[in-house]
Amino acid sequence: MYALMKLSDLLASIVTWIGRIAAWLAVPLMLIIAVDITMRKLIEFYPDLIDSFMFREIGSTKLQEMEWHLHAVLFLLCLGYAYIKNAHVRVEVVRERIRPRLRAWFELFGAIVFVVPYCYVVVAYGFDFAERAFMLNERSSALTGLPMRWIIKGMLPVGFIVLGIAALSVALRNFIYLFGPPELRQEAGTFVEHSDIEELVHEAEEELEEYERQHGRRQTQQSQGS
Amino acid sequence: MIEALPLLMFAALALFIFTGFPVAFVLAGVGLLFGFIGWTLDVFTFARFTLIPLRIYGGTMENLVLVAIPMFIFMGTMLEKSGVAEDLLNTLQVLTRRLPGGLALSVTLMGTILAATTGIIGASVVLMTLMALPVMMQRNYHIPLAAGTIAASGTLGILIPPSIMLVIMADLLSIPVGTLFIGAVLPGLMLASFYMVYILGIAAVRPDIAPPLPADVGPDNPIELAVMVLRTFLPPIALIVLVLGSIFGGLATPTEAAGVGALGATLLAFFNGRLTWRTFRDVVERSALTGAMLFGIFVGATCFSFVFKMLQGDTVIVQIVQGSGVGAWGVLIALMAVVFVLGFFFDWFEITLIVLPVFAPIIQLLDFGDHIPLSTLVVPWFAILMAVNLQTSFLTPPFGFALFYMKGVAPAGVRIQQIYQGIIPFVILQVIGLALIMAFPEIALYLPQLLL
Repeated sequence: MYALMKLSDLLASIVTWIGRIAAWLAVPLMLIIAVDITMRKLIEFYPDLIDSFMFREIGSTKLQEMEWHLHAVLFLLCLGYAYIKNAHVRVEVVRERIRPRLRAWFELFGAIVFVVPYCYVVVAYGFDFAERAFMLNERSSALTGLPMRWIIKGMLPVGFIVLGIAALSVALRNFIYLFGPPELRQEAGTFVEHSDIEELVHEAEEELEEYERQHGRRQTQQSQGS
Repeated sequence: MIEALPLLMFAALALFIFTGFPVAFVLAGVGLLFGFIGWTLDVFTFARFTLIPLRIYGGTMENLVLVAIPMFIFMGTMLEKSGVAEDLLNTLQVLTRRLPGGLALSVTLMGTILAATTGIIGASVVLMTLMALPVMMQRNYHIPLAAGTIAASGTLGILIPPSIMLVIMADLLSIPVGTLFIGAVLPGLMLASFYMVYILGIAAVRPDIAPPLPADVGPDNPIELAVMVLRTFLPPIALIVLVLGSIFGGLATPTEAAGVGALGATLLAFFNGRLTWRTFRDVVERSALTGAMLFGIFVGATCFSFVFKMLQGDTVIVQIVQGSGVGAWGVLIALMAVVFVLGFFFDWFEITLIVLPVFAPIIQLLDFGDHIPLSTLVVPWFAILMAVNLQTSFLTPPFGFALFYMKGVAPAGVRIQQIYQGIIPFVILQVIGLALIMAFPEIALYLPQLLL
């Protein structure tokens, strides 16, 4: 059981790391959008720029394709991360009222019967899909678009492999919760005994504290006045 | 038996969703399960599952419109950390201190302004509850009124553009995002003004449940006040104008506006001195999680609605509707009732992503004659009606998303019954709003016709 717990933690940390790194893709995405729109506005005023390196070699089409590439990679690689962090939305109305043990059974069942087969389907067929793109050396249908479509198509199975790993980690945890020794139960029960709301609350509280710290003086003056 | 399969899919979906397993995975799992059942009954072949990666790729990945979603999420999350909300609440309190129910009005106004910049409900309800509820309780507000105000105002974000939900609806119904955004402006402001009129009215009649603020809150000096107002309102309003203006003016696509908005929110946080490395990392990770949650449902719903269509589910639904012979209005009212009831249990992600793909073919068939000036405007009108209707999904027990979060953060001493009691007037106002937009489609369609 201890070894299984270690394994679950290891899988979870792999998924978390991948997700955390992929999360940063939002920043280049934001910047590329800004660059694209700036470039297109600039060209209205300085038509000569059309011959510059930036426009000739990169151009709006490539940038816009890059935008959805980044977006796709971002969400695909974070699917598993969100599962580990329990951020996938659940309908809590019944769940709130059932015992943690039964919740753990549901989670174990769902991870094995729903998530893993779905990952299998998407990974197996998604791999063929990407392989075909590689064999045909597929590129963007736009003349000035991005080459090597197999990379982005390949991200689909990769994302679902990560999600599959996350599901295994969750399944292991719930297995340990159900059958493992009591001393491991608390650690394994992160899913069935806590709610993701706690983290949101924690973040919001930090935010308010930070604000109070920054505006502390004015706040106290006001509360004295009132 | 085979005709019943699509309906059984919904039954199975409901059953498994109530286990509390993540909705995204239930959708995918039920899809696979019924593909398997269909295979044993010879109405489905496994080879068709090869199309699922294609669907995910074509529908969700290779879709430049949906890129707006991570960017709007980023913008909203960043704004929540930028101190804008707290500034707004402080200033609005000062401005409304002489009005009956001033504090509740401030909360509604703050919700309306923030709504135009965010649209992520969980986090914004948590933040607003933490910020406003203790203050309102300290000022002896009637707890139900305080809770209702916060919950209703905190959820305006999905209706008032830029809203992630409208982006998704536009994508599912194949209509321009800009049309929905601009169409939602008046209905959103109408609901916000309903809330404010209600608060003003009830506070004037019963000052005991909404005591006025002491008059000496904040500066009295007009110049100091003006500076405070400018400092607070200018940054968020500028951001809203930048984002919405560039969409409505046709200068930028919603995706581009969202990206620029995200960058703008980051700069705003930076100039407010709030952009530490840690905040930045938190925003990046929190947005990624919210995005993954949404797109997880997208990807799960792809599998569900794919199998549903393969089992002739959409034909079955259209046949049922046409066979019932209730006409366009009957269908519309029935759909609205379904969405309203679903709102008791689910929130907008599930309702939108499950219901819209299934009902889209029916909606396109509806004919309202002269009630709608142009037949192409039926679908946008329907989307706005649904968006207004979904406002109630946050507020109606047993599982109103906003109530759930609010209960999680409310100070001890706030009972769930008080929250339920508080939201009733607001739900009634929302239903009135919905009825008005049904009766007078111009509320939703005037601006799109004028500007597009």
